[in-house]
Amino acid sequence: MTAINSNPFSMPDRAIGIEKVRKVFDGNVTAIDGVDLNIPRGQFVAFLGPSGCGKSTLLRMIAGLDRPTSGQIQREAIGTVKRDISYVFQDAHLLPWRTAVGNVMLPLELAGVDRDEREWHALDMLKQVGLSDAVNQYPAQLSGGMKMRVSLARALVTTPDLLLLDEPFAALDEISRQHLDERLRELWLERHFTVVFVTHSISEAAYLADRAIVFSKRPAKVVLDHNLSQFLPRGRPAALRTESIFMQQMRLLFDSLQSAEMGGF
Amino acid sequence: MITGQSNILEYSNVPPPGDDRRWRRIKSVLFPVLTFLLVCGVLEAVVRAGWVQSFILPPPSEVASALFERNTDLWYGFLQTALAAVTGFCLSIVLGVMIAVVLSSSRIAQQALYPYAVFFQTVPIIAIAPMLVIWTDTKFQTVSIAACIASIFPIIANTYAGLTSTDPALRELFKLYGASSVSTLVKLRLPWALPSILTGLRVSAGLAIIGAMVGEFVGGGGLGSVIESARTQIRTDKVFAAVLLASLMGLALFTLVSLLSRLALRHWHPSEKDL
Repeated sequence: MTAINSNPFSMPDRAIGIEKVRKVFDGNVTAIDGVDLNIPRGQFVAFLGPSGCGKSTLLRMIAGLDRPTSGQIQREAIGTVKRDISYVFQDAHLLPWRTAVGNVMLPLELAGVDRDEREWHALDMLKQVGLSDAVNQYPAQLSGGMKMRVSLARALVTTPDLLLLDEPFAALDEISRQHLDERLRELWLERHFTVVFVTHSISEAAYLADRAIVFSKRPAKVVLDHNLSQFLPRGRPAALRTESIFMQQMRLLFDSLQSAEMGGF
Repeated sequence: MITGQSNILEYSNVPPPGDDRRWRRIKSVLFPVLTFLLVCGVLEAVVRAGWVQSFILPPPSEVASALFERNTDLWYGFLQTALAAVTGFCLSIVLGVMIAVVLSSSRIAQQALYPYAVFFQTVPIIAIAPMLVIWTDTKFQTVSIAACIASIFPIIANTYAGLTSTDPALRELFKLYGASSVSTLVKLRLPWALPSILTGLRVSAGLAIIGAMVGEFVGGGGLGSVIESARTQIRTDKVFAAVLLASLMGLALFTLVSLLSRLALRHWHPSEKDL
């Protein structure tokens, strides 16, 4: 029963509650120093910060892949079933011996869904990420962008309540990255899962998210908690990136990130 | 006009890529065969000329006729050795992979057992073979166990290396999806280790045949006995024929493993590029 009124977006149906979380690695490297955050269900949040600042560490702790040194992280009750969380890594990390559809079926297979059903869902999901004609290709035959699409399809095939992405499109070229950003935003609008998206790209954060949280350099603290959805429309056409309201938001995030890089506030 | 023509001529000198590749393939078979024929010819000539006596160095023609002699124990010995070596090899695949799985699954098992796996490898097979004769009931058992002991270590070591090098991100992914340790092993760790396992098998294939023949020299049977008895009869041609058969057996087993490797990995592993 801790107070959650410190946050302007606090709601009763929060998906993730982060309280006074600190993370210290191997004795004395402090990665995260006292972060408090509440993320309501269905929100699209971007974590923005200098590289190596600890934002990925925070994401890993939300996923349960790491434990905080002190403080606690809560996920809403329906998020405690493990397959309701999906995680997308910086690289696709596909099983190289399986075809695209085989890779997308994997989470359902591990959950014990029967063959016909999981194949149907996997093919449907691949269609939704625009890979209908590559379902039987092996990862070695796919381009970087296509592999990432398979990885995204694998994450979404279980219809997760919470999708965590750790700089997922950072290794891609600008065009592929923008296409994938657009597709991800569309899928989120259709399905309304909660998303935490870690990135170091200002334009990606501004385009994708409803709320951008800017972290300082290590040890990570919240420098800015900004509600983008007040300024940007829900549906975001590709051309939004060239409009002045978008530029203004980017400028705001840029200034905040600059001060984060300097280490001051 | 003239320069144009000379350009055409220059281009026509370059053979089309298909022909080039075929010629390269023909050369890759032709040159080793020519080397073989040349060496055989020289050996034949040296012995026929009387410079070396034929019981010391049998001429290739005699080795060839020993190979196809009627009513001989040579081919029977070949089959015995092949059967025992393949049995021992299969046994070491099954046991080796199982041992590696146990070693890689528990830190305690790894610390308690791995030093002995390494130590086991340093014990010479020739020194254990006499004990194997005492411990086993039949020659076949002695020989196949000797083949297994000689060939198991590369399989353990390579499988272990493969099992412990699984992509950490994929391990975390399996953990997030709540995969059991059995399905993580079957769906992730073993397939991930497959290229390493196959590398181990390639090394072990030859060792299995060495182990089998060592077992035969001590326990009897197979090509080992054929060589032993031919030696005492000063049938050097037969000794050479038996050695030739043993080498061909090793080559066949190695080729079989390579074929398996190609079938299993051609879609996804860079070592069998077929993309």
